[in-house]
Amino acid sequence: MLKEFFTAALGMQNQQTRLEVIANNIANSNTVGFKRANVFERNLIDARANFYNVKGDVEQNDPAIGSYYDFSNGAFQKTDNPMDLAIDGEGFFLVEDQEGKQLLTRNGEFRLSEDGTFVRNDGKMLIGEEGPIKISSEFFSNPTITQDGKGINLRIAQTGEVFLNDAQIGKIVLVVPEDKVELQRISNGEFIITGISDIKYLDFDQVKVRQGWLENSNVDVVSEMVQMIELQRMFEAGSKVIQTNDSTLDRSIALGRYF
Amino acid sequence: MDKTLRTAATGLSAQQKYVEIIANNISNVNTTGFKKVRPEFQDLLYETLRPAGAVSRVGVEPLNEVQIGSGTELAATTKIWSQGDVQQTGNPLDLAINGEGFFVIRKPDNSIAFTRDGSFHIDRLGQIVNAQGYILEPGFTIPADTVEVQISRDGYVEVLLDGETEPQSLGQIELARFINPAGLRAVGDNLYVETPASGRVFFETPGQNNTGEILQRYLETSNVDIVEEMVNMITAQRAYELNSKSVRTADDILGVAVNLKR
Repeated sequence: MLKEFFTAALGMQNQQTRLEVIANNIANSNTVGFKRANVFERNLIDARANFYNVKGDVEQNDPAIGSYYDFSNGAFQKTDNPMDLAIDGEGFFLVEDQEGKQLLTRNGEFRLSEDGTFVRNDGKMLIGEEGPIKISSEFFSNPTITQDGKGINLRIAQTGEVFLNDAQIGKIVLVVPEDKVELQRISNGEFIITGISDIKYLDFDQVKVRQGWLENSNVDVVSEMVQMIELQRMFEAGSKVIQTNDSTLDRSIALGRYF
Repeated sequence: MDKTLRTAATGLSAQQKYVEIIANNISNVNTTGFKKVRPEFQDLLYETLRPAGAVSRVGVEPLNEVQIGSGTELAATTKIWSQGDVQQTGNPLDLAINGEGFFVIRKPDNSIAFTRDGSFHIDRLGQIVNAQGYILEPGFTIPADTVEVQISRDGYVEVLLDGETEPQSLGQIELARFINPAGLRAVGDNLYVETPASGRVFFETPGQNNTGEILQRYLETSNVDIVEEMVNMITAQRAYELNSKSVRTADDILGVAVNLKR
């Protein structure tokens, strides 16, 4: 009799988690380069086995749901900023923090740091084929010395080469992990590779870097709303199962009084 | 459950700031030389219920991670330095730069600031000054008996004095350039000052190396595009409503859960 309570409660908990994930998608509907996550319920037998926790130990790390990232492209938006980059195709920019830890991101809102390095808003450096992409410090601190009459012009080709006044100062690399399952998201639109996967460098035949463009969040309003309605109704359905069970139980107990 | 509420609250507050930024852009649509500002949002920390690649107790195959994010925040704002339209005014001391340079302004405390706002005047002493009365570098004094001021595209200031036929040269306006204008700090009154992030200032003759020519009798309007701002405002407003639906749904669900117990 009590089994139904737990089955229903399990379903309701899953809907709560779904709502939390959807709320995060929605909150990030204007975050550049954001990839929506989606939740699916796992096989109920697996899930129940977990929930009952036959071995009797605490097992919080194995919820009855799974999730995946939707890596489809978001809409591209033209900005007038030459430091904005978008990836047309699959892949990620490779960025590196001060400790040398490498991270992957689709957010291309770069800027120049105080020493002329291409950085994200939190200071992580954009990595190219030969280390961080950077305007030489001599030029940055005293731009007139190498001025060759062509003006200061930062141009980034679709194949990733970065030109300053027609002189190449670096080449952006685009990467993917060998296995996308091993990507774990941390904050600020960044992913870290958790498993044993190596980084695979992408060939610019299939992907392009677009200067002056940004990739919007790929959160789709309609599907988030539909999911929200669906999960709310499923939550209510779960509550009816519990209430019905409760009243059945109530009657069974009441029945006992006649004997 | 209240995680949903807090996540939605970060979304609401971020979209509200988005509207505030749009409102500031729109209110400066007629400000000479104003450059629009864009927000940059980022997602916050993720709570990982199960790390990527973990193996289920009952299954054997590695599973996708399950992560729950905690919302969004406004991480930074960026100024967009694109050229605004130039508009004819007829005033001989209205100057517009058709390129990437800045006018150099000397403030009363002798510090230097930079501006794209080229609406200049002549003060009591005959000096060319901006709207705040700060001097346009390197300093020009217009004689009292001047009938016409001419400023050439490469910055030469010439005056035609009363009773003369040949104009007299007062000097040349130099424009400032930066490798990274996005790194300049706005100090109000349409003025900017140099920072380490902008790179060192360097001076160039107008018209050289993308610095831009000086157009006399023109002003550069704001680069705010009303259509774009309206589209952004709709986006922000709808995103705000969407986040409020998360709050509503979380509240409804909480109500159902509370009412489980009769």
